[in-house]
Amino acid sequence: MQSVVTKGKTIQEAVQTGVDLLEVSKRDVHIEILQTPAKGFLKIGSKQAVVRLTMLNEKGEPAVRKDERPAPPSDIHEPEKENEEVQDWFSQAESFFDKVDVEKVEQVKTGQPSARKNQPTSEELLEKHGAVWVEDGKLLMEAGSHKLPVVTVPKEIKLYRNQKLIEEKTFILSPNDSYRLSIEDEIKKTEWSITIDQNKLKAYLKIEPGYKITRTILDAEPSSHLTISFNEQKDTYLNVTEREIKADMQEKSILQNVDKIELMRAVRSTEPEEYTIARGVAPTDGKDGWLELKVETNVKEGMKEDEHGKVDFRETKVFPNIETGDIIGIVHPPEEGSSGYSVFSESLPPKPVYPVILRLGKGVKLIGDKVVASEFGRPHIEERGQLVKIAIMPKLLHNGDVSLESGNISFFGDVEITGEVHNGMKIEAQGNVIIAKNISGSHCNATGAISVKGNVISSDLSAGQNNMVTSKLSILVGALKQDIDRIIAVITQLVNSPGFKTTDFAKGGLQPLVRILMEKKFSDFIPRAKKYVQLVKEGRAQLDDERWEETAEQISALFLTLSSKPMSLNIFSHLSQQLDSLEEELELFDESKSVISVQNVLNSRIHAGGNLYIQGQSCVHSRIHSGGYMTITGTLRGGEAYAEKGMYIGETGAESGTPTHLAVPSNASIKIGTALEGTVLRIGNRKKILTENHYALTASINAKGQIVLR
Amino acid sequence: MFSYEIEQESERAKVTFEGDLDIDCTETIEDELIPALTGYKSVIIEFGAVEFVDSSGMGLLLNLVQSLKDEGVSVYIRRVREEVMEVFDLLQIPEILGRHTFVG
Repeated sequence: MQSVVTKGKTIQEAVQTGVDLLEVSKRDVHIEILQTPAKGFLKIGSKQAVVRLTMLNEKGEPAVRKDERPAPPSDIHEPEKENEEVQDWFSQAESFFDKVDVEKVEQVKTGQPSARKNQPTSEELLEKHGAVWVEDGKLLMEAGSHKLPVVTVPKEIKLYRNQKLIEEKTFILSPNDSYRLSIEDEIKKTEWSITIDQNKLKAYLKIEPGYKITRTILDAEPSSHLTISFNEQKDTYLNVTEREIKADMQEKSILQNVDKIELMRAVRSTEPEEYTIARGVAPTDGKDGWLELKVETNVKEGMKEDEHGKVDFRETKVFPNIETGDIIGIVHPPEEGSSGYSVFSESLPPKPVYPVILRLGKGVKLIGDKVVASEFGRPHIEERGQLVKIAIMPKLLHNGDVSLESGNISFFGDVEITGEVHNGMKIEAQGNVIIAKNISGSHCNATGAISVKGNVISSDLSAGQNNMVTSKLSILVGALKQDIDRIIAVITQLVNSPGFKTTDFAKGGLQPLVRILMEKKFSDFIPRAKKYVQLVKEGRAQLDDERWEETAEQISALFLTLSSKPMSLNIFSHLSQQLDSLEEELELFDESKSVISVQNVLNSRIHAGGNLYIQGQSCVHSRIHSGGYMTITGTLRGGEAYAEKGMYIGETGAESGTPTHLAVPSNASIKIGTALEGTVLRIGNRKKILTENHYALTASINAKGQIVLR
Repeated sequence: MFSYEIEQESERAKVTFEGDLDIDCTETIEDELIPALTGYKSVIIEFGAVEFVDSSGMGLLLNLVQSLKDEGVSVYIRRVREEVMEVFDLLQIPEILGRHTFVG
């Protein structure tokens, strides 16, 4: 039998089966792998190893049996002959190299383990085992009589046998082939990039210098198993020039403000680093225009000592007054900032600055850069952003009592009454009211503060925006503006609709369209517009700005009368803007200035937008309300008191048991000097009735939402 | 150019509109159509051939339908083009005339 084909799970198994069948040893056969094994999944697609074994004769041809085979020649002077025999063995070994133990092969091959025991010299060993060495980078070898030399090659070095690259790491050298070693140098190029920061104020050059690794194969002494080693030298390899970088900068239009020194350092850099190669200059911001106030404009609160060191409790308020010709303030123009420039040499403008927008009301003139009072009165200044509204509130001094004789008082400005206010009278002021004596059975409304130096008996006092025309208007103005904006949006959408023609706009304007819109889609608009016009008419005296009336006139001309004047979208946008600024105007109103201070109160109603001070001995059976803090130095008996920011009351409750209700929001507290049994405290939505007398009491809401008394 | 055609069938009439319903139709609708259609029990307006409307045209349509309804004529508008209906919806014309006035 010359050859046999066998199968097995692995190549070894197949070979083993083959040699067993042939009754020879592995080295006596030529092994040909016909199919390499493959593992499948659950045997599907798996393949068995298939090999063909062919008996070898001396010349490598299949012929004779193992026992007939002549011994291998031991003559080392004719290595080629020996090689002929070994070479085929070699190629067999190669096929399943990984599994072959070189040492074992050697033993099998030599079959003379006794040779070792002779303690041969190293040269003898080399003769036996073969030798491999490196000289001038070349791989040289000598086959041994019993063994072939083995070489281990690191991955950086490539080993070629007959110009063919050997993939294995460890390789058995056969004498007939030519071997070549090669090693490559490694070059990494310099990497660099230019980035600009967000503000365009800096250009960065990020440079990662390249390197070159030069490798040389080290010579090695002969050995039967040689591991080839090499030398490595790493040098910085800068292959970027200033010119290249400059070309890129030019492309990115970074032309000026270049830091040449940094650039030079960058191209010589040996470490990865970021260099700032160009810098712009940030703009410096200017200052908005502003109004420098030269007079006191706020109402001063609090007790004041006179020159004798005495405190007049009736003089707790000081209303500022100015004379004609007084300088109220100086207008400072905006200061422009200076421009900067970016790394691209673009100009970077500073933030725009805005001048003060002065809205001068009555009694105020602008002379040069100075705001001067042209009338006697109280300066009234409201500021919001860059908008400053200045007016002199005229003052009406009413000498004596207000009675049927004098008639009611309605005044645009402050009102001072030196006498009493008798039953059934009405005082209305767009400003502050001072009543030197008592007010009884009357109404007093002021947009500013109210100060009654006497008592309040069966009267209604209201300070602030509440109950005033403006509060009603503010809701209307918002709604009207929303409507107008929606109308503009609908018209814009309509004009862009494919089925809509705008032919009649030229003839009749928007009227036909607006008429249809008012019919259903904006059916609330006409009633609103009517109400606005009516309110403005009614409250004319209290509305100091002409724009209220202007707008009312425009609204009634556009929507409330049959006008033939063509309407355009511009008119709508203009109206929307006007309503917007009117809304702003209303927001300027500062309720906290609407303070009320009075002495004693009896059977009255008081509503203060700001703080409320009751400085007399008592406040009896009254409903009092404060948008700020409420201070009652005396006794509060009966009635209801509510304060937005908390309250202090000297004494509450009544021995007679008349309920006295105190209320504040949940974030405020109630302080009472002496709280009598039966006082009802309400904080937020919690309520507590005092069942016993308390002294120096503070009531507030704790974290659990319960009223706590301290 | 706007034109119309009336087909009558005892007490019912079908009016087919053709062309754009715009400000130029004012006389046609107010002086001719309204008098011509008053007296029927029901009127169907075929709207499929109307490609564009303007605001005056819509005003005229509202006037036409409401005048006829006031005279006790039930009016239906049929086959309004999608683009035109978009305009009608934007102005809530179906709400003004009643949704049932518009039929497929």
